Parts: sequence; C-alpha cells; structure tokens
Amino acid sequence: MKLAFVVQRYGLEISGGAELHCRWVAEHMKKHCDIDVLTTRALDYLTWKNHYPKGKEMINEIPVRRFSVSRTRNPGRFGLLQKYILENEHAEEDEFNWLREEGPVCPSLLRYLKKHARDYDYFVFFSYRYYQSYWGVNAVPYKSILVPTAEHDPVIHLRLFKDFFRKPQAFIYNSFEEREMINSLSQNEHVLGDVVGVGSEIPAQCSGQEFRQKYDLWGDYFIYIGRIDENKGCHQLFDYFLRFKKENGSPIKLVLVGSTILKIPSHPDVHYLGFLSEEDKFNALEGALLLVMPSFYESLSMVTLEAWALQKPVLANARCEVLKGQCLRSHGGLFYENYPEFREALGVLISLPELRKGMGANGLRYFNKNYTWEVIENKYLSIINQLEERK
Amino acid sequence: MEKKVKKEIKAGTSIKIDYDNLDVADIMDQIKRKIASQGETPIREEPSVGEYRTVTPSQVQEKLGMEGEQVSGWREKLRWIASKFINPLAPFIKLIVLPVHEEVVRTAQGLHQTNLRLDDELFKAVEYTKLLHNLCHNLVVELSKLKIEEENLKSKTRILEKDFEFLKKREKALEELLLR
Repeated sequence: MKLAFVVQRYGLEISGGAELHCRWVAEHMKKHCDIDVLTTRALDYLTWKNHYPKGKEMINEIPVRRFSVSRTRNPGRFGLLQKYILENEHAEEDEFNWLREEGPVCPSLLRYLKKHARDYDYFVFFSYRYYQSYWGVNAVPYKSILVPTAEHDPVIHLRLFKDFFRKPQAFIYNSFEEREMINSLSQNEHVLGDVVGVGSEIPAQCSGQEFRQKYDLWGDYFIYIGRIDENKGCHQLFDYFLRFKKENGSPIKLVLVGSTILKIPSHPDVHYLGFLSEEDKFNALEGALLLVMPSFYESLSMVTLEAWALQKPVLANARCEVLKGQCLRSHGGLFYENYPEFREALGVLISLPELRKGMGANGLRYFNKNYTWEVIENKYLSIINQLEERK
Repeated sequence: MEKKVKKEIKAGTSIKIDYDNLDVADIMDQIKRKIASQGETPIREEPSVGEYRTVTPSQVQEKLGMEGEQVSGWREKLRWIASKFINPLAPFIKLIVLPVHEEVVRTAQGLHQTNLRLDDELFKAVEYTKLLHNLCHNLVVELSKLKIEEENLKSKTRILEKDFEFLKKREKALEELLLR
C-alpha cells in the first residue's frame, strides 16, 4: 500500500496546526504503508515564500517531495478580498480568486498528482481551505481521502466548498462537531468517514518542580499554551483574568507559552515565557493546576488532549463547539461563555483539588480510549481497508 | 491571604459535586443557575475578527480638506480660479484617479449574480405555485367525489332503515298471528 500525504507545508520547524498533524500521522503510519509527502517549498504561512530547496529530501525516514510556489501571497490584498467576499454578494469567480489568493499556488504539485496518480493507492489531503487540497482532490477524486481540519470559520460557507466536500472517497474528521458541520453544509453523509483526530507524543516523565526552578515561578498557576492571538481568544482571556484577580483577589497566576502577536498585559501575575521546548512545555503543563483554552475556533486542539494525557483539567471557551463537546464527552473540563461563567468555573476548579483530580483522571481515560497512537493508526487502517473492500 | 482563600472555597462549596461520577453538564447547569440567582445578566461576547485598514471616501475628502486650509494669499486666489475650471470636471477626475472602476465592475457583477439568483428563485416560486394549484384542484375533485359517496351512503342507510322498519312491523304481525 502506497500513500501520499499532501499538505501545504512540511518540516521539523513547523509546530502546531494541520502541518504537525500531518507529520505525526505520516511518521506513525510509515510502519503500515509506504508514505510519500507531497508539499511546497514554503515555510512562512503568510506569504508562502519558497524557503526549502526544491526536490526530494528525507525527514525522519519519510521521503518528502517539495514543489515550488509560483505566486507568493500578499496578506493585505488577501485580507481585503476575503472581507469583500464574506460581506458582499459575489460571483463564483470571486471565490476562485479568493482561493488563488489563499494559496499556496503550486501548479507543479498538481501536475505531479495527475501524472503519478497510478503510483499511489490513496492521496491523503490535509486542510480543506488551501489551494493544493481543493485542486488536488479535484485532480484525483477517486483516490482522495480528506482530513478537513475545519473550524467554524466563515469561509467554510463559501459555495465552492459545498460541492467540494462531496468529492473525496473518505473523510477523516477531527471531532464529531466537525463531521456534523460538514455534513450539514454539503449533505455528504453518504461519503465514508470516521472521527479520528490525532495522537500526541507524551513524555514518560514530566516534572513541574523542574519547570518552577528553571523559571523561578512559585505558587499556583494555570496555563495557556498556543499562539497568543486575538483569534485564539487571548484578548478576552486577559480581560477576564484581570477582572477575576481584581474581584476575587486570588493569588493564582496565568502562565502564557507560545509566540505572540498581541501585547501582553503588564501584571505581576501574568507570566509570558515565549516559545518553549517540548520538554519545558510538558514540564510547565505538569506544574499547572489546569489548562485554559480560550480559542473561539478549534478543530481539535492538540494541547487540550496533551493536558488530559497529563491528567490536567481544562477550562475551555464554550463558543468553540469542539472544545465544549470534548469537555462534555470526557468530563475532563469546564467551559465558559461569558465572564460570570469564567469566574465561577475557574473559582470552582482552583478551589477544589478533588474536582481537578477527578477531571484529570477522566481526561486521561478519554485520551487513552480515543487518542493513543494505536487507536489512531487502527482507525486510519480501517478506513483504507473499507475503501479497498469497495473497489 | 486567609480571607482570599476562604472566598475561593466559598465559590466551590455552593456547587454540589458527585466526585465518584463527575458530570460536567450538571456542574455547568449549577454554575449557570448560581449566576442567574445572583441576578447577573451575562453578556455574550462575539469573537473579534481582525479588521483590515481601508481608506473610506470621507477620509480622502478629510485629507483633501486639510491640505486646502493651509493655502492662503495669492495662492488661494489662484486655487479659487483653478477650482472654477476644475470643479465641473471633478467627477470625471475622481472616476479616473480613485480606484472606483474595479469596485463598480464588482458591484455590477454582484448585482448581475443577484439578479440571476432572483430569477432562479422566481422561476422556482412560479413552478411551486403551479404545483400548489394542481394540488388544490386535485383536492377539490377528491372532496367532491367523497361528498357524492357520502350522499350515496346516506341514501343507502335510509333505505336500509326503511327495510328494517318494515321487517319489524312484519315480525310483529307474524307474532300476533302465531299467538292467535
């Protein structure tokens, strides 16, 4: 069995998102199938500028074929066009223009897909909204499996995606909410699909104490890990946390880990640590009382799963259907929709260690049942087997 | 410090939790009830989408206006004379200078698409009305048939009732004959 994983970017430097999802799945599936990764030369997701050398290279024993991006993205122009098509009546042609602006425009990759379609049994496309996935699935629909990684993003309602979601042979969803959303948008219930998600590499041992000593951080804290961005709900998190501190006078601290494009509020109990190594990240998570996930749009949230793997409860934004659904199914976390709910839920979690312990245990059970690599690999293999049986 | 810790514990104790069988939905319901009982009206906050900076026509006019105010003396007179000639041509100049052409084309395309869609919807509505009309017609026919059927059944019942009356009378007459 030979599979090609098609993704917009691929490399060890790329952390988070569909790209890391793709790399982890490829690295775990290589023991079951021959895997090739087909990707672009881009590293920067804003401009898609060619960065990596053209051609074939090996990354963690997986052959990676890189194709040149023929047109870089102008974020300003793209922003204006997206705003226009989301807010105005528009023609189908505008949507295709939007897709071209979204990029990464990589015609050589599409030519390769058409030319070498017979060399592969299936093509697994990651992220529905990019140029290579849309035109890639259209080039080889009879061999395509789509991992949409879709969120409640307004662009999913564009007309061009309605038909697109009926074309792949199978879907690998990240969550039940994602499947429901895509089914209701395009009535594609007849297409084979399963909720799979992605596993996580959890270190055998983590030490919160080591983290505290290294960063000289003492006392109780809760943690946010991820890109510090307004779209991730961080602005709201800062606002809520500062109000909580003011009203309750609690000594709890907020630790922030990840790259930032927002101004971090200057407060003695807000600690921004920047981008951390995997080891430090897990140590920080181990030392925390809980993980807060304020994002409005998530298709899975790997860090939430990692928190559960370390038996940490989660406080999530209820506006994100996926996070809320995960909390309700796992019984591993609470959620909030507004400040009073944030205040009460955080208050309950930090004041009741027994509740944290119980939710942490539930989270671990949920993780072991659904997100260990053995489970994920078997689900991928089951979908491929079902497709083979249909042939 | 003690006071603060007490406050936190108080927040937790007002919620009943079954630790052997944690139910997140139940805990969240209790939290919501607690907030409602405190008389707070939570504001639902929408996610903010990054805004893109665009120059509006009013901003352009503002900028032009500000530049005008700085001119004075003979320059102002010259400007006034020039404006007399230029003013009538201003709409054409704006049309050429400002990037409105693309916008006009896009709007026209958008309107055209809307028009097409409206035509489509109208056609669907007409077809739907025709179907409804047919449905109504068929219903009326079926109702008429049923009415006739009902009348038939009624008259049959009346005949049967009469027969029944006659048989009753006959029965009585025969009984009388036998008893004699």
